[in-house]
Amino acid sequence: MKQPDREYYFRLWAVIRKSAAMTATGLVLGFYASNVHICAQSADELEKQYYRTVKEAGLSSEIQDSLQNRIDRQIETLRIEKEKNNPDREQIKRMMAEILELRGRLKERQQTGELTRKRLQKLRDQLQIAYTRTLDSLTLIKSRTDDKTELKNLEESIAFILEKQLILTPVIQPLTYRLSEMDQFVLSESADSLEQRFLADYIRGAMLEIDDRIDAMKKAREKYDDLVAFQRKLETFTDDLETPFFSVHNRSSLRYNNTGTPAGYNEIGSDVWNTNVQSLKGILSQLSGEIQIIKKTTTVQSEPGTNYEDYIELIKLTEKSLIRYRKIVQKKSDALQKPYK
Amino acid sequence: MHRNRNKQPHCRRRFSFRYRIVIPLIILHTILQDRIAAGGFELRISPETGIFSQTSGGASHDFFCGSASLFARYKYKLPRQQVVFDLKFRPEFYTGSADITVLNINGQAMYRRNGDKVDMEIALSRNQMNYYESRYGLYAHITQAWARTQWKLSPSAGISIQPKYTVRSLTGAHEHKLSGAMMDISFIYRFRKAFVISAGPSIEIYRIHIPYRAESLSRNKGITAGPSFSVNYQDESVLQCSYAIMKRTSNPVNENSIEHRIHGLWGRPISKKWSAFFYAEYTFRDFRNEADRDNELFYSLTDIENRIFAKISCEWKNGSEWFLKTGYLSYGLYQSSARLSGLVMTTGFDFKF
Repeated sequence: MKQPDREYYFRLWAVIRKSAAMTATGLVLGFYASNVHICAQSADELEKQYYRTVKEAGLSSEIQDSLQNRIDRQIETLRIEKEKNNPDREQIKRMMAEILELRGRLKERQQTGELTRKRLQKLRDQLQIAYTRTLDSLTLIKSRTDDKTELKNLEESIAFILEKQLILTPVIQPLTYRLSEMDQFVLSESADSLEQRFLADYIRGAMLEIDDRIDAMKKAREKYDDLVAFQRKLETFTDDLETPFFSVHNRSSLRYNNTGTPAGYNEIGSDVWNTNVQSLKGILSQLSGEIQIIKKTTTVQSEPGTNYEDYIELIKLTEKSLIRYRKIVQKKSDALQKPYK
Repeated sequence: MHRNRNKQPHCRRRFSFRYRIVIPLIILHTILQDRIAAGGFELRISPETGIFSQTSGGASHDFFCGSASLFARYKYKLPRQQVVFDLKFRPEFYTGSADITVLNINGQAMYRRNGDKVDMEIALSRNQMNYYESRYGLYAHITQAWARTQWKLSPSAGISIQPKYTVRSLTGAHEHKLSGAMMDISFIYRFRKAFVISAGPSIEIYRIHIPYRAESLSRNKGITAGPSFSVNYQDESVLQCSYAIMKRTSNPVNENSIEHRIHGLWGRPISKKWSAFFYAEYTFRDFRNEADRDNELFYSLTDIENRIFAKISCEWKNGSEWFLKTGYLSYGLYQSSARLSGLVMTTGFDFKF
């Protein structure tokens, strides 16, 4: 039997060399293409622009609210004037013209506000990329450093950047109202109306906040439920293509990986993902600190970060705990509304 | 007494099945029960029917085709770990100018572990495909074992290493055996939340053996190597594209060729219920030594085929859906000289339990 000659090994070595060269070229081009537009602006500049735009958006929103309030007031005055036995037609005309003008101004403001929101989203995305790049560099330096002081400094810098990322990421914010604080406000029989009003306001605020969080949970759950359902459909599509007719081929390249692509290197495992998971865990730990009944439900040791299904489970658990928490706050609110003797 | 004696082997078989499969599963489930976070059993039944218009050697044949696939999955979920068992059974029937029956059975076991820095996946699969025509039958057995390890080098970059070993054996009307060891290395970079690119080299060493031939003409071994690039976008919609250019060299059969492989997969939910999918693949082999071709000893493990498929589906209840699938395919069977091509259009249901 003929043994492979030297020429065969030379050919093989040439193929490997060519493959390595093409891979390196591809990587360099890929990195270059992804970084070129981000390099143009530094993170500091982007941050300044971002917070300036946030202020603009806030101001625009306030102006819109003010215009809307003026329109509402004018409409109310117009209604009252119209209901009079002898309405002043000239004044009605003037008011209607003013309402129309206010509406026009509001529309303009809304359009400007929409543009500001879009700019804000773009800046947020650019900042996320800039932070990720900085984190990459810091992580790399950290892996090469042995000096303890330097390591500590690097860890602090990484935590600082992660915190910045956290502020940018649309995560579910922690609860600011505490049940334990509500318990401290025990109304005595001699409680005056101011005290009662204060507690009622506090509980109302807590209820609104809980409703807001439950709503955010519901939206997040629906989003990921839809995503998982779609991924399953896609997986079924590629699975069924494996055997359309008699074929004895290997189809590993065809298989769709539902944990992300390639091999789960997507949103899962990213900092944004971890931040979301941490914020949910934060709410759960807040709730478990608040009431014993929720403590029991949070003992399920789910370890999200692995796939969307685990994340949905965590959202469901948090949502369930929040609903229970709401019921307890509702009871407090009901008790408050009972007349004191 | 006589009846009992007759029953004995049957009883032994039933007990044997219980002891081998069911009881270990129950024990495993009991041991792991406390640690299981979620998971369970999933069953899918998909009846499908349609038309396959085959063009082969210039002639056209129309087939009425039907199939019913049964897919079962059992999944253990532990914190950061998953064990998945899949079983797929799919008979296909074609009636027209010839009656053809195809039976596909596929079993797979997979273990996946996700760590903070390293993700790991190990899998073993076994495929059995039986092809029956009036005059002959062809049987393929494919066993694959693969692993995938992925290191997260930084929040947005990683490296993936995927070794794989495949043994494919054809018996019946043709005899052919192929074994191949493959290694894929990919450098991955995520530069947007939903946008991932990867690139890396791929190498495969393979051996082909034809048992009925004389020893000197029965074997071939070779190497395929080259780089591959892929772009993946996954947000509300999914887009995956990959391109690979592979150089193949073999000895003693002179099979020098350059292969270009292109894959594209796209999917998007159109509304809450409706979804659309598209898949395309194109493989081109540029043979350098056309005159020396010995087709039977040629490599044909990977997708030597071109096809386009589109599907729309409408979900109506708990993941169950109606679908319409259409496509064009053109591929060589185990020999590159025998090509099969045609248009296929099927419709069916996918029931999930």
